[in-house]
Amino acid sequence: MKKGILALLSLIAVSVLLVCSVSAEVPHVEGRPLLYDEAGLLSSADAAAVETILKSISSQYGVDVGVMTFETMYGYYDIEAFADDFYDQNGYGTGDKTGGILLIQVTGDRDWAVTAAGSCNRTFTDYGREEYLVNNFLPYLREDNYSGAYKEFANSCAALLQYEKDNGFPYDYDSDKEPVKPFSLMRVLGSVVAGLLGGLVPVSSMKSQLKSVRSQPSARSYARDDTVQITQANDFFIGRHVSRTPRETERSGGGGTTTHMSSGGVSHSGSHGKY
Amino acid sequence: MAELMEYKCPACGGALEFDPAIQKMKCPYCDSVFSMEELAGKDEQLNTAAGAVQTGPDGEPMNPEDAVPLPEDQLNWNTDAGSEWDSGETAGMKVYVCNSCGGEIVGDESMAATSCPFCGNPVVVMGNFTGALKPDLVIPFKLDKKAAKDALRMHAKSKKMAPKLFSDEQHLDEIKGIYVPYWLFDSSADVKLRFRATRTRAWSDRNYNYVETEEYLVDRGGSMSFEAVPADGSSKMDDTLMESIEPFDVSEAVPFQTAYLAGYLADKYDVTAEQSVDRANERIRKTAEMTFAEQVHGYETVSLDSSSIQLRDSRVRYALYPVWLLNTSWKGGKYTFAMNAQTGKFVGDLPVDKGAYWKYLLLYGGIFAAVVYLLVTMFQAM
Repeated sequence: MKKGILALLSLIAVSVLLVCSVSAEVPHVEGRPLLYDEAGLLSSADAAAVETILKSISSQYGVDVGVMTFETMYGYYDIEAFADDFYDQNGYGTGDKTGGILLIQVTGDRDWAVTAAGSCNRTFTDYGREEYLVNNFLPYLREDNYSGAYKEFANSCAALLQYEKDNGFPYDYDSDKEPVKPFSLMRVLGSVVAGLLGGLVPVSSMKSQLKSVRSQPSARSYARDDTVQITQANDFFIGRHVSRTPRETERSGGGGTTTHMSSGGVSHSGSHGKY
Repeated sequence: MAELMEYKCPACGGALEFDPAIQKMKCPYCDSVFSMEELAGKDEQLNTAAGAVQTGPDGEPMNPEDAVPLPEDQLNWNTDAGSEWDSGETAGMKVYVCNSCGGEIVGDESMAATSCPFCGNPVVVMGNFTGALKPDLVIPFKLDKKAAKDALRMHAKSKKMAPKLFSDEQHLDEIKGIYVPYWLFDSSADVKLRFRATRTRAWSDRNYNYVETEEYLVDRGGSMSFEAVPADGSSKMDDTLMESIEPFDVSEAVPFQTAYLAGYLADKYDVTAEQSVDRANERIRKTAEMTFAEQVHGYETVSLDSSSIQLRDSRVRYALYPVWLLNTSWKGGKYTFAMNAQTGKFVGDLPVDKGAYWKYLLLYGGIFAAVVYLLVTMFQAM
């Protein structure tokens, strides 16, 4: 009896899986485009600009760095599975590429996912992906500044790829320096502001040289140094107190990249959420 | 009418002036030179009474028969111009008569030396140097008018943000050498100071960082002497400006002689020694506190808790110190500069040339921005 019930449940489970796999299917795109704006979020000028950046980065580092937008998840309930399957079934990270990383945006429920595979599993560590990459592009996405978000995604990917190339290991929680984006408007603006503030120092010094009329609070010039006599010098101890503050504990935990298997049996890493 | 005195050249009768380059009296007309010692006894005698000689033209008479009778002259003027001074308006003003040309010299009560506006002869108002008004000391001018002009030019030229106009001599409105009255305070001070001081020690164990702070009361006492702490005795002089050109070296002061004033302006004091005491005490206190605070060693923090300063052997002297004052104007503002005519120290606030300000801000800002950008990029890439 028990065996019969178990067999029935197994049959139902397999049927559900079969139904799901039949009804959920990722769109197939030709030629592994690095920008696929099915949701139509970008103007043609913005699309051209984003695509140029993506192509340049992909060519330079030998991996696919792409951005895809959709209105629906084509029957998928999980954005991570949708992103992984889109990556696998359209052949990203293959051929002359050693790996790839895609930003998948679905406008219907405002979902986003980043999926990586191949060599990008190593390059984009959990820490680098969450604390650097996602933190950089997500604010733009939340403001519906799609062009800004995609450029920030591309430049942040380039920074992490360059970091690994320069250092031989990927950017992680214990790295003592930050990745460098190929071009950062914030860095330029920050440098200009810092430059102007720095420029104020010599300029203020030059301005202060214009003022030479000052009262003389002391009469040091008229004190006869040879007449200074110290006749009393007593130091009295009056009290002691000790303050105590807890020491900062060392950060614990490991780095690296957490991976999972896609439905196609490919090892993926990634992040996802809503914007 | 008050009594004026001039120093006349015995050789040509010209007005003698004190020459700072040679530190002697010199006649600008015949170049005769006289030492100050030669003139030391003449303060009482040199009241010359040189009046202007009136001369008039001579005319040839005409023959009356050759001429047509002319109407009588009508040369009447309405001479009601001007009015009497109201009482109070002349308070504080005095009128002197120049011994050389008879011209009237109007000045305030404190004016002690000036030059006649009509003939340019230097005059000394003797009444402002008699009795208690006689200075004990004078530091003679060591630097002349040219040095003052050069100093202004250098002062403005060395400041990149000053308008270029200020280094132009032609821009100067007025320059005058003036003996400024000063009170000089001499005293010994018995000083007792109490400071609060702390000393800290830091260490750590496995779980905590510790900081131990020890507190001390630190007493320091002793004595020190001050000589000739100056306080400006003229209300017309800006006190801050006069303090800015300090110090004066009183060791170069000489006993007062009116002859040193010839060729310069001078005022008698109108701020009394009693009124200047507070400022002198403030400076003496500050200096004593700084001097004895330097004797406290070995602590991380030191702050003054209380102090007691007792002055003894105090005395006040009255002196005239030499100052060049230069006035100029720019964009509706008046700017005054002063030079210590003994040491050459030159002071005076200059306005900001806004064009230069922005030029240098953008220049330095641009350089800094480029350096910051490169450093950030390099630091991140390392």
